Amino acid sequence: MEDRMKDRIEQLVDYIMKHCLWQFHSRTWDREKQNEGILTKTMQILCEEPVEKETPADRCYWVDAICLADAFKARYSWLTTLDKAELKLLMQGLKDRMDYLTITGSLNEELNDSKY
Amino acid sequence: MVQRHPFDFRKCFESLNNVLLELKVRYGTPRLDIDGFGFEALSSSLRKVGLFFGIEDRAQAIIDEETARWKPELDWYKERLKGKKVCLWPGGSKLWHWAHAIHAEMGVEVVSVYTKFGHQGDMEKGIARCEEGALAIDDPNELESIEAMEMLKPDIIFTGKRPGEVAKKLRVPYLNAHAYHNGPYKGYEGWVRFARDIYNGIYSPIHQLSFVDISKDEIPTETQFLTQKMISDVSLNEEVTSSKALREYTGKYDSISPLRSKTYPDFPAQKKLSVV
Repeated sequence: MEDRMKDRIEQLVDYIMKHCLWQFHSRTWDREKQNEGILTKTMQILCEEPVEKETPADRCYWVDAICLADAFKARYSWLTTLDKAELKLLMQGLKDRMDYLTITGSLNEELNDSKY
Repeated sequence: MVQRHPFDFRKCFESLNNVLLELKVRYGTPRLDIDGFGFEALSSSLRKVGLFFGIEDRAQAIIDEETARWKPELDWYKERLKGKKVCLWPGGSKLWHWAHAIHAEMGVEVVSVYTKFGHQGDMEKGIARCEEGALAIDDPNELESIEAMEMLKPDIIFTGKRPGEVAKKLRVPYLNAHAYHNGPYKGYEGWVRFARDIYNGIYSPIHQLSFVDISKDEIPTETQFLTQKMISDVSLNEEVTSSKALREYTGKYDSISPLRSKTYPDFPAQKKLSVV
């Protein structure tokens, strides 16, 4: 069960890394905001929950989240077999993995440049 | 003035990255990443801009029209470029703009990425977009790049003029990844022009002659001159070579000038933006 979850998270990570740019903003604080904003909204879209998109910042996150959710649904048919609780668990696992790969585990020393 | 812009496009990456950070920190201006290299990236970018402004239908109409116009031509080249080995050795940003897009949409295998003056973020993103096994070299010198070419035996290299000339001495063709040979490479038509340049580089009949050393090799006199298509199509099946759905690039030599006289539909603003 755990292995299957890990494998599914890696499939989603692979898609994001090869097709998206939002996860690679150039500072730690920016990447934290991006991962949180876009992946939370993607989870809400997949779970058919309401999504905030009134401010320009929220609208940017929402736009990327819409594209990501559509791509996930088109590529990974197993997503439709998951209920809301499983989807939330999956997306939290994805967020943790993305935070590790792009922030805490990244070797990019420019992420913590003092000039922003 | 910048704080008055509700939405701002930035084309170049690293030099303007700091400007974007400044805009975000000082004025709270958000950033939406878009990408013009490759059909999928460009379509996704147009859709994102359409979604942001609530005009997704207009964006989708452009995506559908441009894809129908140019995809058969991209696929003609993809059939002939499948499996060809590429060293992606540009400046910084094209490492990650191209690494996955050329693999997915043109069928080539990126066997190596390098950059001499890219930032750490460029290497990070470039490596993330390669398939497993690609050789990544940070700031290589000529000896290292020669060693890589001898080891990897690429069919073509995308790089600058100077390292490109070094590659030619090893009988490896190159495309100018900075100024482009017959660009632009962005946009739907541009992406097909890129595929055409790769095809012309790999299958150039003149390049084939470089494998013959006139100082010692016997020069065959009965061999006729070969065209690119005669070289590229020899291993393709008839279904591909006689396909009516695929076709070579049909654009003009100059794809830019006609854009200057193009007329665009007028879309009056629905409402006044509150921040302007």
